[in-house]
Amino acid sequence: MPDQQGHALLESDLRALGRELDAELGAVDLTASVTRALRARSAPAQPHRQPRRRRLAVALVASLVVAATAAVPSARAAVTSFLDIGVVRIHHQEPPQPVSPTATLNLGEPITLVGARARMPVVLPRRDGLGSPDEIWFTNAGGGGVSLVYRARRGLPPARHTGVGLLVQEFAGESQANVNKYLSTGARARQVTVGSGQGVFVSGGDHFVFYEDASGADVYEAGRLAGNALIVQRGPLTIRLEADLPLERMVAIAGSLD
Amino acid sequence: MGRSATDDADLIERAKRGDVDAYGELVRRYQHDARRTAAAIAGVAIADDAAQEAFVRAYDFLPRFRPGAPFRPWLLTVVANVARNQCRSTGRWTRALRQSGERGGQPASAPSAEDEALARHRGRDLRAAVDGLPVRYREVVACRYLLDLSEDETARVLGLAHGTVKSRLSRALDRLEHQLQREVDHA
Repeated sequence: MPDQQGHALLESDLRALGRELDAELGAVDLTASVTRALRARSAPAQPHRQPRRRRLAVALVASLVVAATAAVPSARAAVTSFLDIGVVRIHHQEPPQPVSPTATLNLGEPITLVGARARMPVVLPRRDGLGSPDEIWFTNAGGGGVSLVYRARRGLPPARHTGVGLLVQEFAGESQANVNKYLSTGARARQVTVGSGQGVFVSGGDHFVFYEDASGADVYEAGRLAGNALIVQRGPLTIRLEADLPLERMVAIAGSLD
Repeated sequence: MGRSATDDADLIERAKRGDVDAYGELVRRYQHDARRTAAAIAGVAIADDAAQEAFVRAYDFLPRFRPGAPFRPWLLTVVANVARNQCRSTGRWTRALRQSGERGGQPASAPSAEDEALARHRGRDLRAAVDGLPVRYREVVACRYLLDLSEDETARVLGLAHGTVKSRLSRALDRLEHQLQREVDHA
């Protein structure tokens, strides 16, 4: 049976193992190679993201760009802008890193509804017999988020990439958190109205979802293919619904969130 | 070292404005931690490449760095992510640690041949046990012990809640103890 003394010895051995890393690494100075690489690019650091308040304005402008160019592939390929809604940023480009087609859902850790609500506000869909989800997960990715999983059932066909009937992801991320979606060829993002608010519906092809951590780095392990998705912002939450359902039903479900 | 958060803040601000030399000073200050982090997560063989890429990426991310926040854990988070991406197969990490065990660990003093053999044997078993941990446990062990980060730093670097780090560490240590005990029983 492990005890405190046993752990103390083990901790000491593990730290010794770590010190062996130093011996293996030796003395190397990366300064010159890093600064050379930065100078070679001859590009000073640019702000990556607008302040949160400006991002909604950008969303409206960018959505017009998306709508205008979606039907014109050559023009669309030239567009390098992105579309923000809440903490979700939609890029009109292939993902920076390939995603395994078999990558599975990476939703964090299972949690109870009470536990999830202790960490952030959580709303549930209230129509089509939905309500209590079959599973609830919490992750720190994307600035902190809860995933509600509804298994496939009558009226909720299994989604091609997730196998679940409906996935509702709610993010309470702040300005340093993000969820990145990359649209592959054929995927379209269009602005839709959900209740009194706005949303973006992604459909027509695969897209890729990456979570971004607090440092701003994409967490590629969580990258995966996704199908139809509706993203809406509601109060402090950015909510993403993923299901193989038509737009009208997605909007209706999003409108019932409470 | 004489390093302070104020010094870092000044360098970061200058780097944000495109001063590569200022950023170079940050690289000089934190490359040891960055290389160790990359080595612990991705393996010694690709640690320098991973650390270099992480420094370049961190430069791009500087505008997002919150003024006044400690630079080290933020940087190590970027390093950990790059290292994870470069270490998609756990075998690479495993191989790196095994190589480390085969070549490293030369004691400064000269213990008896028996002590040395026992220590080497335990070290090999420990590496094998760490290798066998699920990734979620191996990462916290790597950060907390191999890198000697605090629990708070481990949580920040891995993007986990503090309580999650504590529970994973506890379970990981239990597993390691159990595994090492099994090795002794079978010896």
